[in-house]
Amino acid sequence: MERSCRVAPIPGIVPEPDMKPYDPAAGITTLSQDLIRLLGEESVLAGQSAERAYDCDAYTVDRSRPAAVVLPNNTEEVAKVVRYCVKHSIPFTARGAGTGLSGGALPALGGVVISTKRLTKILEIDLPNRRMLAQTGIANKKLSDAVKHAGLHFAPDPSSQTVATLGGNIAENAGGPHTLKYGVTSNHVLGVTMVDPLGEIVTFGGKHFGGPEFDFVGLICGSEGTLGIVTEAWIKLTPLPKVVRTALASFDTIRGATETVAGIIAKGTIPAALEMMDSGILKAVSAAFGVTYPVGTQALLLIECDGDDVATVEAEMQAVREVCQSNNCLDIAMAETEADRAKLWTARKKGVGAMGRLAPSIVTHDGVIPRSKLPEMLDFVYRVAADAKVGVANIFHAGDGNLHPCFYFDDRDPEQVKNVVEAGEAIIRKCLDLGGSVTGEHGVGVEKIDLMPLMFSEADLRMQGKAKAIFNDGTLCNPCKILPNQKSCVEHKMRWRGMAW
Amino acid sequence: MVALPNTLESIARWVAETPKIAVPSSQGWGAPISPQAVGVDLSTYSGILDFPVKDQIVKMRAGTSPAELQQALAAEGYCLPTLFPDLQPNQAPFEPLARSQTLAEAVAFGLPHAREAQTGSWREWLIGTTVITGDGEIVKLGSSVVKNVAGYDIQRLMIGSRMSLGLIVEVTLRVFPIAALPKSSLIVVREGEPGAIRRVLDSDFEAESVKPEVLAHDRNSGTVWLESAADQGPKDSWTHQKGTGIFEGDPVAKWMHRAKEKFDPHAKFNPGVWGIF
Repeated sequence: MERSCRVAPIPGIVPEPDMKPYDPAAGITTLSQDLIRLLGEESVLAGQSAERAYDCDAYTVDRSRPAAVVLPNNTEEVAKVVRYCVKHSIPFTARGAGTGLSGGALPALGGVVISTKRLTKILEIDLPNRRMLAQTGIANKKLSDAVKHAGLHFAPDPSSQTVATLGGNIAENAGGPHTLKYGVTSNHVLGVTMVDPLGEIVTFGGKHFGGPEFDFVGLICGSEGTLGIVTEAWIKLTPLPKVVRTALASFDTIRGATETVAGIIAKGTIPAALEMMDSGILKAVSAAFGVTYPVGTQALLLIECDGDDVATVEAEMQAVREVCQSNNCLDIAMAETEADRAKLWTARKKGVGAMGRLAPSIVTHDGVIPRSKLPEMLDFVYRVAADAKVGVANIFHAGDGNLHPCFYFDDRDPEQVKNVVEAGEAIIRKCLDLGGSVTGEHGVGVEKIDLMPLMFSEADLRMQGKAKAIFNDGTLCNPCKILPNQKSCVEHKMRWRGMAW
Repeated sequence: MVALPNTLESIARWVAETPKIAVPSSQGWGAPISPQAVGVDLSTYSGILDFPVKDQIVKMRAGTSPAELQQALAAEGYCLPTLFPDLQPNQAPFEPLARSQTLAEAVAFGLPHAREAQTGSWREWLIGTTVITGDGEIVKLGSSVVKNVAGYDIQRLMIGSRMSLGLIVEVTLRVFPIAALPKSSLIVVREGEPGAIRRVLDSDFEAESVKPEVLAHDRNSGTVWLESAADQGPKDSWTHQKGTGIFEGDPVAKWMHRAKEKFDPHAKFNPGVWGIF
């Protein structure tokens, strides 16, 4: 299935007259040697194996090979490489652990990939002020591990947190199960040091939120590496809750579960996590791990309430129970111990992996709707899957209204692939019809560029182009991302609107 | 001061035709705005547009007053998590949101509050805005859902913009359950009219909170309210200054100029409010 983007370029977004892929043969013949001279031999990768290893992130549908990969050790080295690329008109793209799900780290025009793999140091821990300065190549979980002894953590917890980097989290404004209560990454970034698209080292913020200036940190978070390369960040550390209560509620109808989600929020209760899994996921998890659920279960809600005060948390959990019961839940299992808690989280944490048993290919979508529309939306998802004759399972951040329908199918059958593509598009369009978003946490990258005009008007997109141009009015820093204005960039070979896990 | 027309389209036409527009702070915050600009009374464009409780969001016209908003939210058990609804009479001068006349003003000045450390502030609450550009385009920034990573988060650039990047006409906020409000630790040392609000690190709090010019302090959010505003407060503090807080030569000034050039190239909105453009 070969086709390119179908959306016409939006006039006036960013003037980009000539967006051709970087051709190493026509470019600088001494690229690798030059980079070695700048950073040393041990910090430069080139050749076919490097090109293949870095030609995509976890969104594998589109690929583009870099001419070289560099592994700088500090901010100054990143700046040196950027200045070199600017001087010689070579595109460059930052990359963390490569776990991104929309192609944000894809070197769309080739050129140089700047990996943050070696930027893994924690530079300062300021416990009294609950903040930490770290290089951005460090894995998310290591940030929390470093301050666990002090009863603190870095709250954003994407599923990939054992490997996903702080820089990647900032670029994608990563979420996770507990962002319902604690907020996404941008709410936890106090300041950044960034190499701008011309190679200048700049800093914003650092100590507090707010200040007598525009909130540039808020803009940089979620900009997918298109405004510069963030190399260090001051992050906010959040106290670990003293009390955690975890419940797993089972329902014999999907509607019972989805009505419960909106009902809990309407009651003035915001759990720390409110996740949903349907019978497709349970079937896979039961087969893979032998876990059983009450007979007749069609949907599970994993609900976690936390806080510093037992009475408040218990009151929240009681409110949750009442809403579950009013929606005829079959059973509510409560975790008594940490081992119980881990067991209750099994379906949520291992659900997607277990789905590998169901079919050769899985595509996971990412869309958002107002959570009150969940019942209507889930009905729509099942209807679309049935019409397309493909399997679907749902495992998602229900509290945020952030859907992740997973289609399972056989990608060797072109008819099934076509049906999955169409079903995915129908779901994202429905998200927008219901007042939602084309992406809640995976980002736009190259994957969803041609969906942006469905969500934003031309005037909206022009404004976004202006925001980009504050920092990046050229074509070299992570080109071909977010804005639908660069049609020569990526010929999309096969657009599944999702990612094979 | 003129009232705004009552539809987005007519506001947009008016903006396009008006060379300089002033949206002054009701509290006199910011540097003086050029007298050549036509003053707008944003409070004439007010009203809650949508408050779907189950979705935990509220959408309103920008001139809606914080008091009206808090009342509407409280009826459903929600609020913007400032000192409301526990505000004591003697604390009123130390609650900037209660003092500001419109929601847009509160966003445009990025007002701090006494529960900020526990419940966040505008970067977390503001999920979308509608803005009129100098050319009279109606532009939607952000979204209407609590989680969204589609495109650049320009709505966050409007926080603290002092209405100098575009005219904010609609605001969509994430709201917070009253039942989960943490306790406030605001202490009023002596009554008076605060001239400045500063954010200080916890490690500096002991020393900062006992200074003679301090009127009130809040340990949880590391905030002190001062009697008078220094024109050049410490750069790393939140200073709710009468003046600018930003000076030419400050590294961030370069980026503010760039943002201003891109969003408001004809310097139509609030000319002078920053002192630097």
